Amino acid sequence: MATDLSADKEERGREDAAKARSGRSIVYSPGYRARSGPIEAISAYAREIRRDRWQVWMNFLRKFKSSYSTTFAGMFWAFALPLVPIGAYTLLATMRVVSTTDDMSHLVYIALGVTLYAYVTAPIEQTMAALKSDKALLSSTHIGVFSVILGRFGTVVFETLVRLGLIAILMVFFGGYPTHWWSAAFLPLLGVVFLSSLGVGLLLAIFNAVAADVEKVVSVILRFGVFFSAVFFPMPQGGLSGQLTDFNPIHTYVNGLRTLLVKGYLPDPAVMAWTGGLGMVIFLVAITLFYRAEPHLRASG
Amino acid sequence: MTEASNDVILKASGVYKKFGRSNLVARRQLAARLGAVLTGRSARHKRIRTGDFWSLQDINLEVQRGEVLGVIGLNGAGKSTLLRVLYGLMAPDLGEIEVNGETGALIELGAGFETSLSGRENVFIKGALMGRSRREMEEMFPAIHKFSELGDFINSPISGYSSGMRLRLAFAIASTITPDLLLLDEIVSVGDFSFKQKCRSRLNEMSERAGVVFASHSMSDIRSMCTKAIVLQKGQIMFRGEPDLAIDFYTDMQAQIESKRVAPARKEPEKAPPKEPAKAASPAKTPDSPEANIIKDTRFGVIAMDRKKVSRADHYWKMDGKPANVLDTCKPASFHFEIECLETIQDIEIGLMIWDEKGNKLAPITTEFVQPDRLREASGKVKGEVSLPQFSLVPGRYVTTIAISEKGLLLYRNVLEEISVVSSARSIGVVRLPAEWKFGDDADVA
Repeated sequence: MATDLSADKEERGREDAAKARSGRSIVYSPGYRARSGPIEAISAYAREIRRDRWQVWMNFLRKFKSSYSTTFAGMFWAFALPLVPIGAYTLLATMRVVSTTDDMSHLVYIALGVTLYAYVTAPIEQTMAALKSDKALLSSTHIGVFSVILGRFGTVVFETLVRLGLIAILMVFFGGYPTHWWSAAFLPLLGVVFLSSLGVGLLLAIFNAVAADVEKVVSVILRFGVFFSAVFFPMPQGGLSGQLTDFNPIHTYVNGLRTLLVKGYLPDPAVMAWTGGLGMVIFLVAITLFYRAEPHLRASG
Repeated sequence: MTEASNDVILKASGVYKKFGRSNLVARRQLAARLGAVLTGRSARHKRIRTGDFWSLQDINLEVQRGEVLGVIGLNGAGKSTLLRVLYGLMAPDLGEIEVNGETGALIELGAGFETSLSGRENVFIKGALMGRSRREMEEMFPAIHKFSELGDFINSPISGYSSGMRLRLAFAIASTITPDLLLLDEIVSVGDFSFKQKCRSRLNEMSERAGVVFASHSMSDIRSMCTKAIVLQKGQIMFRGEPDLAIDFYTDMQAQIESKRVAPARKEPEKAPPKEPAKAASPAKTPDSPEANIIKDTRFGVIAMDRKKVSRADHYWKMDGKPANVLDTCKPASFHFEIECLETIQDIEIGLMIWDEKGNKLAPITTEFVQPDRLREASGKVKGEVSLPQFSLVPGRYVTTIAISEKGLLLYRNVLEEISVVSSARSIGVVRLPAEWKFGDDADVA
């Protein structure tokens, strides 16, 4: 019978899986993972994320829901709060407290700047925060560390989507919507930016486990960094500060991605190329080092 | 791989694990380990620096399929650290642990549970953490649900569960998934009686196809569930072998530690009847004793002595033929005393009382109904002993008081040093009465 056959096949498949699991052998030693390379690290983390996908999604939802569960206005805050920084900086621009640009509507400029800045900095902050707040869970279970980190991005992703929704509306009303097909490169570059930031976050998380000062210093840098990254006003082109902006990767990403999306070109492709390339190298180095350090970071909880 | 080596589920060779005595030292250790692995070197550390201590030392063990290894040890002996290292939650500082197959663990109650989600959802999450697909977990779910006895609560968030319910669910998942190696800490001993029975029976079933490492303070659990056992002390394996022998070793080890601990206390009661009463203690009289001077009032009653009649009294517990302040519930014990009388004492009565630490009277032992002729008129040195075929009190700390009276009038009363009672038997209730069982034709059943 067909059903019997399929059942047999399925049973055999399961038996194979069980046999594979039973045949698995692991050796824990002081040198555990010490010589692992980037391929081993990436494939191990990919397996973990696949294994824990249900838990990542649940964490994602739980953290998002819990942010607003005790408020009377509930979901109103979920939509309103992400727009507050855009509103505040737009007010400053309208009052001429900060300079604006003629290249695009200052509303679109600021909304995109704030959104991209939050997107670039979130992996750095959230990675350190995840390892700190979920220490107990990490030290008592084998839950994947990336599952814990990704679970924290729920609110970030939602806020980014809300802001992008606002940007789409602003583009419709004030112009500046993408007209060139090169603007499509915005999406893959978002991936590069995410991995670069994640790499930096992973490296900093390792140092933060030994000296928690790292998190404080990063927090200060990112609070002031918003004023040096062309988030709501353009940075000067000439002079020393103009030259230094090339060495500010956040400025490169925010300004480059915004111009790419709205105008369809990169203001400085060479700077973007080496920043992105360096970001990917940092990511590969960071994920390898983090993979090696992970058992010790977990145990420190 | 040979068939024999396939049966070895867990093998630990020369495992050491180091901890720090302070947060600063722990961070220094972490920095050293990270420094090593980040540069591609092994994080092995043999040197002990200021503030470091070994939590595990030279651990060598092997668990085969079908074996249940019991881990016994006092608090801080390294049992939980050992389980965490075996589970791979901590890398050893020296040595190697090889696990052949899958590992399941119940080390911390509720670890890995998402409390905002229902028990049902957590079953799938836990299963995924152990590499089980959703389909596999769906098949196992009815068995897990049935074993956990959660009924409709399985659909409620875990945040509303009692610790017993969480334990039942955690154990049901870990044992139904049937890993090749199951690591269990103390927590299984937390459940109620019927659940413990279920756990035992499940462990027996499991041990046929898996290896189990089980750490516990419950000697009866170790005796009934384990096929072999190790005794840990200060991170070292002090004994390995049959569970019964390991329990005996542990009991003796506990007794030695306890005797060292209580030894200094011996001095205080010996000081109690000094040649001259303490300055602060004014001479007083008990209601039934016009002569005895109260030296001190304690929560175990007064310390008093009539110096006109009693010049000296010596008394102590004995076990295994030698004076002891650590006794075993199941072994015979005797109390010995020697009194030096200055005058002839008529109708002497000697009474002992055993108190618990809180000051509750537990067991009186007196000559009240014995009235041996020798005690009708005592003078000079009076020596005696009272024997107990089995000490009977369950493990704990106790205080003995002795009182000597003449025709109901107190002559001497003292509070002895604290005694510790240890046992290889299960510690339930207050006393373990000596009992003799008869079965079949020998039993007198009407």
